[in-house]
Amino acid sequence: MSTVILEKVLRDRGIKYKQHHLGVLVAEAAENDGLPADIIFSDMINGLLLVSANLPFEINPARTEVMTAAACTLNAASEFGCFYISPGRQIMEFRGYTPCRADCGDDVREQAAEYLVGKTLGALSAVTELLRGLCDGEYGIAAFDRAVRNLSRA
Amino acid sequence: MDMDIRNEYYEEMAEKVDGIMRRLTDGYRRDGGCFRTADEANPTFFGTLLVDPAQPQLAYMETLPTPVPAERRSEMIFALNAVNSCTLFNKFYLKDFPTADGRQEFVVEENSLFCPGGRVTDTDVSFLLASGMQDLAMYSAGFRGIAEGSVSAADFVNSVTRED
Repeated sequence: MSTVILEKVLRDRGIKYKQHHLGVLVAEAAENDGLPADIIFSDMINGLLLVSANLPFEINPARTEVMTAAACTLNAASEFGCFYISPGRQIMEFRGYTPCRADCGDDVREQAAEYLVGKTLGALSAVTELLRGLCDGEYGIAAFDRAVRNLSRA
Repeated sequence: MDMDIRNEYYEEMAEKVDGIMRRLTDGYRRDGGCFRTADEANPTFFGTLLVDPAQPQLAYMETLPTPVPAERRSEMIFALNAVNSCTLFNKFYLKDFPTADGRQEFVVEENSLFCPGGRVTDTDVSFLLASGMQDLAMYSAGFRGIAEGSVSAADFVNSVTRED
């Protein structure tokens, strides 16, 4: 049921997506101008709406420590979602979720889906290029921390 | 949102949460919309259940009582990242707080729950408390050991990411 609502929210925002499995919608950056990363939306059987994304650049092993520190900074600064580097992978990942109770009505599910999509796009749009710059060594962690502090806690 | 409606809304949600907290837990005190654990023996330890009417969600935050020394900051961040990669609902990060000695960093656990329309149920509060406390129970000893220097972050990360 939530998948239909999620699809409506994505369509209303003009986001192109594909249904990969039942309850799993994937919005690919290549198909959507301005989308900062491929984003996977999952409607879990227990009523949760989950979102996950792999940021679109590999982390140079020499920059792993600084990128891990950046993830910690972002997690402290944002009230939404979680950034981390999966052990064994040189990719920064993001996940967020909107618990949406199994017994709630469609109006609540739509609000929850709008919240999830809006917050995810906002969070990823705000920081993906900042993280890429840090990863590429364009600037250091102190400058990154200052930039994150300047972002509003949207 | 109109301020009067906002305040009324806020109070309604806080009252609702208060009633649920009284039934589900003990050892906390209410401070406006916040609910803090009454652990007077360890004043840096607190749990908060916050009701924010502008963005209707419940938030659970817990701060581990052991400060993280600057020389072990990198190790702790390494450990926090590993835990964040394998938990689903909660996230852990470092945050600095004022202390008697100035400011020091502590590990914070945070999770939140979207409550559209301000509707809060026993299930919502139970979910937040249970998932927060479960993760804290699993990882707090390791984090404390890293902060104190008695546990190596590498060993801790191996233990939490090991696939059995």
